[in-house]
Amino acid sequence: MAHNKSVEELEHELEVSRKEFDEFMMEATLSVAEFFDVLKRLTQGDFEVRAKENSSQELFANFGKVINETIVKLAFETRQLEEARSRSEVHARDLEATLRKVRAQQDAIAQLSTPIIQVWDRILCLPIVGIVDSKRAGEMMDTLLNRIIETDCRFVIVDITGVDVFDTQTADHFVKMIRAASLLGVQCMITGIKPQIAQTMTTIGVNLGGIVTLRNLEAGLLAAIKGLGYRVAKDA
Amino acid sequence: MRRELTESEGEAWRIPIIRLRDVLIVSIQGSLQDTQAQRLHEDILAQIGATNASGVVLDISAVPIMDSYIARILNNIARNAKLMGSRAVVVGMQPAIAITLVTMGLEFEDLETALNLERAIEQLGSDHGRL
Repeated sequence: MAHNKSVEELEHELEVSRKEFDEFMMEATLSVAEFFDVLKRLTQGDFEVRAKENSSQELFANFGKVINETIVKLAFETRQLEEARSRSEVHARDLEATLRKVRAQQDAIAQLSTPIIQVWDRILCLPIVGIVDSKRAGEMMDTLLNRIIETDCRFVIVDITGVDVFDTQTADHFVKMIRAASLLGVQCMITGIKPQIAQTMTTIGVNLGGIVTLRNLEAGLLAAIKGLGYRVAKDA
Repeated sequence: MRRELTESEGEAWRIPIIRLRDVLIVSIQGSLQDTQAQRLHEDILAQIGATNASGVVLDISAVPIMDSYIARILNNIARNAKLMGSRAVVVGMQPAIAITLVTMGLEFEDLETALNLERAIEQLGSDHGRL
């Protein structure tokens, strides 16, 4: 009965199997507990944590290896993401600073770009430089009308020597501003219309509606001074 | 609908017209009602006819707001005064009113304007006031 095992042998094998099973279960419990702990620390942001790879059971040793590889990969990607985020934060801060600077410059330009000069008693001069958009035109009109009342003004010379772009909208802003000033009781004139602007105006059909236009600021000033009743004469 | 004024209402609402030499001076206080404006229009023309005044000064410095109807009546006063050989000058318009009228796109080709009463009298006295 060579192939028949004795009862003692069977009992012995059973004992061994049970021991192995017990060991396996022990290892499994310990490993699962450890993996659980590792995963918990991982979710808390600890990428240094590693599962043990030297388990006596091959299954858990491999499991530990896979977990460790995943952790390494995850750590790498997280680091990259964080770097990208901090880069974009720096970028956003730069953009914000630039925006603030641009706004400050715009304010400064707005203040500088609409000077109103009292060139003579009761004569105001409004030299206009650059592009006149509706916001600027509104501010200009407001400031001009208030200055007219403050200074008891009689003539306003709008000098557009510094204006390079003149379209129907710009013309409309000027006409409105001059009409409003006229309603307050001052006379307005436009001076310094450059040849190419005159051409543009006739080409696009801008109608200045009977507003007096003169060659340059000098001519405008002379007309205004004469309009105030002064005689302009050269000595001898 | 604009209704006709009864006699007593018209008297109470009438805006005084002051004559100084050959200039008529009208000072409008507060915002003008439509019927009041019509009445003023008629009164001014009647006064020009009666006194042969060479100019009318309408002071609107105390008028805070103005609608297009009143603005048109002012323009009509000026136009009719011109037809009668006189001139009407509107003085003291507030910047806000000027901006509103211009934004509404109203044109006042017959309306003469001056900054204040003093300037208006000067302007009426001299013909070289306009360019």
